[in-house]
Amino acid sequence: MNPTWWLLSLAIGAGEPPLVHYVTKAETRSWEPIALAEIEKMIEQAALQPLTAPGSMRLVKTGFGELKSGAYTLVINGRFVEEAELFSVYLTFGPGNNADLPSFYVAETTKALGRQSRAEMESRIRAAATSAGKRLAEVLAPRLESVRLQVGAPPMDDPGLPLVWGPVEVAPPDRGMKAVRTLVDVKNDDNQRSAAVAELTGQAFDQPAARDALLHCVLRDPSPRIRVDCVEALTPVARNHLPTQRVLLSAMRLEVADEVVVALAKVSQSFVGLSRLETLATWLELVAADATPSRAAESIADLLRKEGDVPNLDLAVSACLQQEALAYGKKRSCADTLLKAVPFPRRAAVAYRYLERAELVGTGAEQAYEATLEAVIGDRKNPTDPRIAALLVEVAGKRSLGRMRHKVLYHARDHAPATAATLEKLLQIAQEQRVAEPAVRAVGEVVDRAPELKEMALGGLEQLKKKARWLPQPSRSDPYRELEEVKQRLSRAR
Amino acid sequence: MRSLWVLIPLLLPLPAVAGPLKVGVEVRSTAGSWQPIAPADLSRAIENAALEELSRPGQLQLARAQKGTASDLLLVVEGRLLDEAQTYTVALTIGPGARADAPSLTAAETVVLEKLSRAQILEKVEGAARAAAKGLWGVLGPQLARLGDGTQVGPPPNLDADKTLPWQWGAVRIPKASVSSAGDLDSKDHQKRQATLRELTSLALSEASPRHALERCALDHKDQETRRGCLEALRPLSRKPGPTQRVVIEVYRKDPDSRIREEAIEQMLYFTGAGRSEAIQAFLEAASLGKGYGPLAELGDLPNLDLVIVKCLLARRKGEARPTEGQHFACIELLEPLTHQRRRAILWPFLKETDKNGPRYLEGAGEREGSTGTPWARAVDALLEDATTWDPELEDILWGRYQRTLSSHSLQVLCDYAVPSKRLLERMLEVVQTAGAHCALRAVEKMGKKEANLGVLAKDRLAEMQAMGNFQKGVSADDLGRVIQAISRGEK
Repeated sequence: MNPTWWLLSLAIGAGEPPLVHYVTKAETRSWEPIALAEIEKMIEQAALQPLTAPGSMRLVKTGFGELKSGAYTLVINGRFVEEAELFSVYLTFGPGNNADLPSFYVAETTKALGRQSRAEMESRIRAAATSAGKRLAEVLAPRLESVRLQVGAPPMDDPGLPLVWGPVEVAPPDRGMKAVRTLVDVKNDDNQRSAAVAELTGQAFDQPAARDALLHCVLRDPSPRIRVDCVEALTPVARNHLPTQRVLLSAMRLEVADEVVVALAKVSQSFVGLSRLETLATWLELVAADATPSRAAESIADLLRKEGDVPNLDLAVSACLQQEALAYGKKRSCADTLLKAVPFPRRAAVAYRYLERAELVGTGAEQAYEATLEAVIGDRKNPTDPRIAALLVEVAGKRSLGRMRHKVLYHARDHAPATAATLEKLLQIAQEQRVAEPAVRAVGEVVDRAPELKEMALGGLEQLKKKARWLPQPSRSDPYRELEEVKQRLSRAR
Repeated sequence: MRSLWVLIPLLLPLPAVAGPLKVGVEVRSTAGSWQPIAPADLSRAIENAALEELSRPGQLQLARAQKGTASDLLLVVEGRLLDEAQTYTVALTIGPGARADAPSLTAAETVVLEKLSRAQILEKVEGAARAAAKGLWGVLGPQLARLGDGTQVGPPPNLDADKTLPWQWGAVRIPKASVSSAGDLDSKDHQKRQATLRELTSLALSEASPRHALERCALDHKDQETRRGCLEALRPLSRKPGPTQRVVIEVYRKDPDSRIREEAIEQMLYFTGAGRSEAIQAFLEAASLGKGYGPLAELGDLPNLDLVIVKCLLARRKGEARPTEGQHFACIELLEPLTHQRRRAILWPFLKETDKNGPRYLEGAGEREGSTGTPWARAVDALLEDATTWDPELEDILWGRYQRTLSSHSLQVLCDYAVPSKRLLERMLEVVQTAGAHCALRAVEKMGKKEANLGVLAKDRLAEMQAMGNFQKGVSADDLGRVIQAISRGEK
């Protein structure tokens, strides 16, 4: 889409900034160096400052009961992470009465707070909250503005996820136990280390040394098979132990072996509370990242599909569709599985840039494109976004779309704007033999929707017949015959 | 409304090339943590040097690309500083702008900048930019002549298959590993080597020196299994942009072991940015040598693709006298994103080759071609796929092939298209008479119905065959009679 179009459309009638209800909550399991009530005030103040500055929302503090009665919701969470002695801030923006904007989730974690003065701790916590607020404000500003001005949300151009993961460190394993020593020393062969994992599995829940050794293994062992064993050994402790959860989520973001990512994803399904938000954010990051191995990306996409419309879904799907990696099948799982989890009115902004820029030849790429097209083409109940409808005619002219141009022209018949400009473009496209037939057919269908264009179309088809250079292929249908049929049909129509 | 419509310059063909082509220039730079000079200064230096060199032949008007201003071609001048290796790569890529028929080409040069003064660095990168520009012009110049020549008949200018690809790979430089156990990778004891490999794999996740040891091992180790283990250990590290990616690409380019190359491909599929562009050039280079095609068939139109396909069709693998059929199939598949003119420039010399022992000969299967795919048949189909006019010279080529090998695909194409001419009619009558081919009889009928003078000739010759019984009995006398009647009805 031409950005000027969007900017110009901003000039059309504007309303009040939308009303956003918010709540703040801080929590901890055991470590509480500053009282939670003070922390709540601290992070609320620091996070809201950058959010209110652009003037794009009206914020009202509520309880959880009234949270959904505003146009949108904002939840400000914070929590202390025991053992690692960190503090994390989470901001979640979501739907209230209005469901037209995507949900967004922003997280930021401080540097270690242990052994710091109270003033220094406060300063780090405030800084994390302010930074999170700024990033959420950046993501939200153009979208809230589009709501206020009652225009469609702008296409996602550079859809990076607004997350900063804090440092994740594992304490050096206490080498007092023989099995720990065997596992941690990777010069020992795989069988020895496997036996050590088996021995430590039963102790992971109660013995910190065993747990730390298994975490170390998840992050550092050279064998993917043993890393999987270590992940599985940590399953019981990971259900409730926050530091273990953080390490496993971090390992998932760094892992490149399919089977280990899948094992980590399986364990992470049991995480609840704020860790669940971090888990979902990690899954989305994996789906969006070029580096995620293909099969694992498919498994994660399947898990996310079951979660439905989660915060940052739009950004992740858009990033996934626009990723550069050449690995087969990555985009397809996003197009097939995840794009459909985005509510229909929001899909156009998610898919627009991919549909506009994609260049494809192979079957996998074509399948991803086709699935994306199917997901954004509407029906009577949910009409196709006008920007997508206009885009169909634009991309149908791109040779690099290969065989997919037939599919695009098929949809253009029913959805492209029924205008003189569309007719002109279709007739230009029809000069190219490979797509002449569907383009000519689309001309006929556009006139069916806008009979006032009949004379113009007949004139254009006559010109096309005179000047087009087609060599009918024996194995394909004859574009000259199609042109005649469309002309006759239009001439007969009243 | 209708009369107004006629005024719209709807179907204007592209003007032929006259005067210099307008080229929009875009400059990009990539840098990591090592920046001996501000990347912006380097960008300026390479831009000036490259543009000066490219402007010299006087056929290009080069100016910074501006939004909303259409240019015939687009030139991207890209500089990349690589950490650790301390090298600088200049890549020039030119491709279609408003001229969709322009080829896409790229050239690159890499120079080492270690321990050089600012003045020496600037001198060296300018030299690299000039060398890349010369390489680019070497392949671009001859192809510019083809631009704007919309003709689809007669022989196109040959692509120079002897020309080397203009992408020059710099040497891979890996700092010396200081980790003490690295030497054990060379131990004669297999167990010890494996233990060291495991240790380095783990350490390399957080330290540079073990990574350097693994990179050196992946490139140079004498033992195949160890080389492969070292390469596998680089998997998580090659996911990030940087020097490891260049090492993996070099392994793919140079390693003789197919399993190691497969592992390298698997890693290269996840590269992004400049690493991705280099990986694609490595895939193209391999295709040009007949050493594999990676994911090329999925990537559409790429810089240097035309030249690569020509080289690919000619490449012989070690120990083989000529390219295999499978190799030819893979090369022809790469034609998919190209326009008809570009396909024609590539395929024409191969289609014309009649010497079975000639380097450009495409294997067929003679009379059995109808039941089996052959490089000859696929090449002909690829050429005709987007053709918009029937080329009489192609007809001669097809007829020549039929005469020499009884190529059933060539005959089928001649029968199916059957663009009426006296010469083709006589050829088809000859086929009816000597081979009793039904498709030729249908072609005779089609031509006879379309043009009256051909109809008279066809009826006369068919009647003669019918009367004398002088034809191959794949068709019957009744078949000939039916066609004579059909042409007569068509004439009325």
